[in-house]
Amino acid sequence: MNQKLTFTELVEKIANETGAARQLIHNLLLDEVQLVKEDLKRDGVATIHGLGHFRLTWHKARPGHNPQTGEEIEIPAHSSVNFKTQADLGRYINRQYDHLKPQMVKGDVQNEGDKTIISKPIESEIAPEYEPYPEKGKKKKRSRFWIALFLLIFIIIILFVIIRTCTEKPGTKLSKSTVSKKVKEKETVLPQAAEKIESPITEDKIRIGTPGSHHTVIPGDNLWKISSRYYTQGELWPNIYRANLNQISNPDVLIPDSRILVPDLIGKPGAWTRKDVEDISAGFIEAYLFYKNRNRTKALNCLWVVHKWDATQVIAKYHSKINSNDLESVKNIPGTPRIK
Amino acid sequence: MTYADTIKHLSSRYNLPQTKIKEILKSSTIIIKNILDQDIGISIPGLGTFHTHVVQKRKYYNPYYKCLMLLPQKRVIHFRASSSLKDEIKDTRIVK
Repeated sequence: MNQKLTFTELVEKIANETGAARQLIHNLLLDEVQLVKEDLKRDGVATIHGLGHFRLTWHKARPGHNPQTGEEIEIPAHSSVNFKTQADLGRYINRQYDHLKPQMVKGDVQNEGDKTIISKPIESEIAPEYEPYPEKGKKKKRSRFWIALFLLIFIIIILFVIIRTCTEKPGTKLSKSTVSKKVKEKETVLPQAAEKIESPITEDKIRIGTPGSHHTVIPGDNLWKISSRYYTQGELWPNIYRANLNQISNPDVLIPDSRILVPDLIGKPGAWTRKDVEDISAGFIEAYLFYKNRNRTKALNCLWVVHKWDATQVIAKYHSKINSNDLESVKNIPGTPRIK
Repeated sequence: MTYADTIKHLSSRYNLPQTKIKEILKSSTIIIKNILDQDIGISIPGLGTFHTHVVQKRKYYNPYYKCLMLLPQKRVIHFRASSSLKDEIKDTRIVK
């Protein structure tokens, strides 16, 4: 530092720059200094915007020597001011050294544990041996890249698996080889089951049914559907209900995978035998007994069918369980049952 | 005290608009920056002197990379407190 600017010159420069009165600028700057002092005394920290921070540091009392006489003296405890330049100002005055970056020294470490060698003087000859300084965060960026790549591959694999499983679901398109494979498997493993399922499709077989045949309930099944499938008339569902009273507690609810008996009927629609009528009527009476205290409309409907079929023997058989008022009320309902 | 508080305080004291105070303080900062950049010292009465000097390039041990590094030369601002400031704060101890 060869030159030094005095406070007066500084004030003059600022006055020329802003056009304000010199006295005003002088007083303003001194007041600002006073504010800095007050801040330091109060908080121990003060800031001049655009320049830097002042901070107080407390030093304990310590022994010392007078450099002139060599006499031992006691240096009392005291505070000192430290100044730290703001980053903007530091960058501004160092912009001519922007092209210089820290560099790694290659092959110059004799003892890595000894960190005191960092104060060795630097010769200009060793400069070519330096390697570029590894940029901060480069390792992190690399690791992030690999993590992102791994995640991407993982997501792609998961999507591939999901898509593949979706294509194998029933109802979706399959390749010819897959279809033939699955058909073969089904044919070999469950030939009897396939026959059982396919056999009711023909109307005669459906209507007659197999004596004592069983039906395995699948999700979505109900007595009406099963009756429609085996008897071609859903209205005959009470016949199945009666035959399975031991395992069907509620005719509206069927447990999947349970095997229920579909009883055989001897006659045909429109030409039922007396035994068929009695069996079906007994089924309607059982349904009536179930719905009697739950759904009066359904209960009366079941009883009305029995009454219209003139199944007097059945009514007499269940007479003690049938409510006489219900029986009287269904006698006055006109119409004929839809059962053929 | 923040920068805004300083401007408010000076504005009320000199009965000047805050923009004017702000302009003066900003231009003073810019001038001080330019002067320091030209390697010229500044003396502010009651506060101290500011000057710049060049710190030569040196080796240092980087604990993160665990190797010796060469730090290039750079300029730093040095502040020397005035005797009046030293006297005022020498007995001040801030306990946190």
